[in-house]
Amino acid sequence: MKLSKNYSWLQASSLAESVIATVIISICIATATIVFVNAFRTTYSTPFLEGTQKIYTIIEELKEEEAIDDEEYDFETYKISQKVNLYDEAPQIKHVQLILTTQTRTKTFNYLIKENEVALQP
Amino acid sequence: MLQKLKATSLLNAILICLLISILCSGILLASNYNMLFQNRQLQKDNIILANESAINLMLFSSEDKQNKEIKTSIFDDGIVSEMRTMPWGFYKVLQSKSYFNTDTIQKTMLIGHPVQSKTALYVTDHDRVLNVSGNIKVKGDIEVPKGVIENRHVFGGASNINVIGKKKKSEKRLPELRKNIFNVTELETEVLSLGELLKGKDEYINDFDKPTQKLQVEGNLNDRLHLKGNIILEAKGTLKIESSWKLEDVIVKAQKVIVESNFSGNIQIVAEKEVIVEDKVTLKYPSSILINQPQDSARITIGERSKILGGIVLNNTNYKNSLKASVIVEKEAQVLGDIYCFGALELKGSVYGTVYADKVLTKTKGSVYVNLLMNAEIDNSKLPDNFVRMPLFEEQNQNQQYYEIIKKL
Repeated sequence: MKLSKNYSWLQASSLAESVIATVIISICIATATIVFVNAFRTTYSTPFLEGTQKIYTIIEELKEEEAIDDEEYDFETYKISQKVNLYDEAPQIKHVQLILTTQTRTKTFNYLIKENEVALQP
Repeated sequence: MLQKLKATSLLNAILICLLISILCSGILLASNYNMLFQNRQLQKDNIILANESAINLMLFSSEDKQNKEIKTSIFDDGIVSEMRTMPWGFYKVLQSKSYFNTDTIQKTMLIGHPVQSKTALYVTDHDRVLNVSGNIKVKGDIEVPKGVIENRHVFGGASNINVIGKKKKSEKRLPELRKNIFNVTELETEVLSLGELLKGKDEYINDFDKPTQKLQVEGNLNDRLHLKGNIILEAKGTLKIESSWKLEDVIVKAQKVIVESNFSGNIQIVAEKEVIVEDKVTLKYPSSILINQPQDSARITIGERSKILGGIVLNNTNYKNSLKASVIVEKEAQVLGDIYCFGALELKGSVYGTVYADKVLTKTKGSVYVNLLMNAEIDNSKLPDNFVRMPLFEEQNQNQQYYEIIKKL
C-alpha cells in the first residue's frame, strides 16, 4: 500500500482506451496468425520435396536397369506412379512419366531414357 | 520529473501492432523468397531432365536428323531444347541447350558409335602365310592369309605362342575405310595466328559453342602453352609438341608431327607424311593418329612405353604407296583401340583392340622378316565395355545407328 501510494501521481487509462487497445492487439494477433499459417501452407510440403528427390533417385536407378516397365511406388506420405511408353520419334528410347502425388499436390515429371537391354544387343 | 508520466494503453497497443506487423512482413518476405527459390529449383531440375532427354533423343536419332539443328519442346511443357552435332575428327560433338524463361542448361560432349568387333587381327592375303615367333599372345578372332598361322623359330629359342580365337581366311585387300573418316566443319572456321592470339599469354580456351579456330603456328611457342577446346593447331612443315604443353581436345595438323617424350594430353593428330611419338608419351582417351592418303612415303612411330588411347590409322589409296608406308609400335608401347595400317606394321608392343594390317614385318639386327609377328600382344578382350572405338567402316548393323557419350567437354 505504501508503495502504491508512491505512484498516486500515475493516471489510469480510461476504460474506452483499454478496450480499443485490447481490440487492436487482438486484430493484430489474429492477422499475424493467419499470415503465419498461410506462409507455411503456400510453400511445398515436406512430402512433396521428399517425393521430388525420390523421383531423381528413381531416374538414376532406371539408367542402370535392363528393362523399364510401369510401376507404382507407395510411400507413407506420397505416391509415385511410373508410366512407360515408347517414344514415337526414336523406337530405342522410352518415355518415362513419373507422377508424384501428395495430399495437396500432383506433379508429372517426364524423361526420355534408353534401355540398356537395347544398347547391349549385338 | 515523474509527474510528467501518463497512462499509455493505446500507445502501447499501437507499438505492439507495429512490432507484430514487422514480424508478419518478415515472415511473408521469407515465405515468398522460399517459394521463389523452391520454384526455381524445381524448374531447374526440370530443365536438367529435359536437357538429358534431349541428349538421349539425339544419341538415338537418325544420321539425317543429327546433322540438322533441332529446336523443340520435347514434352510440350514450355522448356525449349536446342540440339546440334558437328564433326570433330574421328568423332562428333553434341551440344544440347535447354531453357525456360531466364534459366538455361547447356551440355557439350564428344560422342561416337559403339562399334563392337570380335576380330583381334586382320592381315591381308598376299599369298604368304603369317608366321609368329617369340612371345606371342593374340586373343580374339583372327583373319589371316589362308586362315593359318605358322610357328617359326627365328633365333632358335623357345616360343610361347598363345592364340585364342576363331581363325578365318582373309581377303586380298583390307576392309575399306568409310568415306570422310576424319571430318571437321570448315564452314565456320576462323584462321588466326597463334602467336598474335596469345600475345604473351600461356593459356587459350575456345569453347565448342563458338566457331572452330584454326591456329597457325609460326616461330617458337611458349613452353607452358595450354590450349583447350574447339581448336585446330596447324603448322605448314613440322610441328613439335613439347612435353610441357597442355593440349586438351585439340586437333593437330601438320606435314610431320613430333610428340616429345613425356608429353601427356588429349589430341587428334593428322599428318601428311610422318608422326613420331617419342618414348613415354601418353595420349589420353580419345586420342588418335591419322595419315590419310599420303602422296608418297608415310610413317607412324610409337616410342617405347608410350600409350595411345584411341587408335592409329594409316590409309593409302593404292598398293604402290602402301609399300612405302609403315606403322611401328616399339617395345612396351601400348595402343588401346584399333590400328588400321594400309602398309607394313612392325608391332613389338601391345594392342588392346583390333589390328588391321596389309603386311606385318619384324626387323632384327641386320634382317627384315616379312609376314612375321614376333614378341607382340594383341588382345581384343581387354578393351573396356564402354570404350568407343574410332568409326573405321561404314555402318553395317543397327548398333552403329546410335551414339555413346565418350566424354563431356
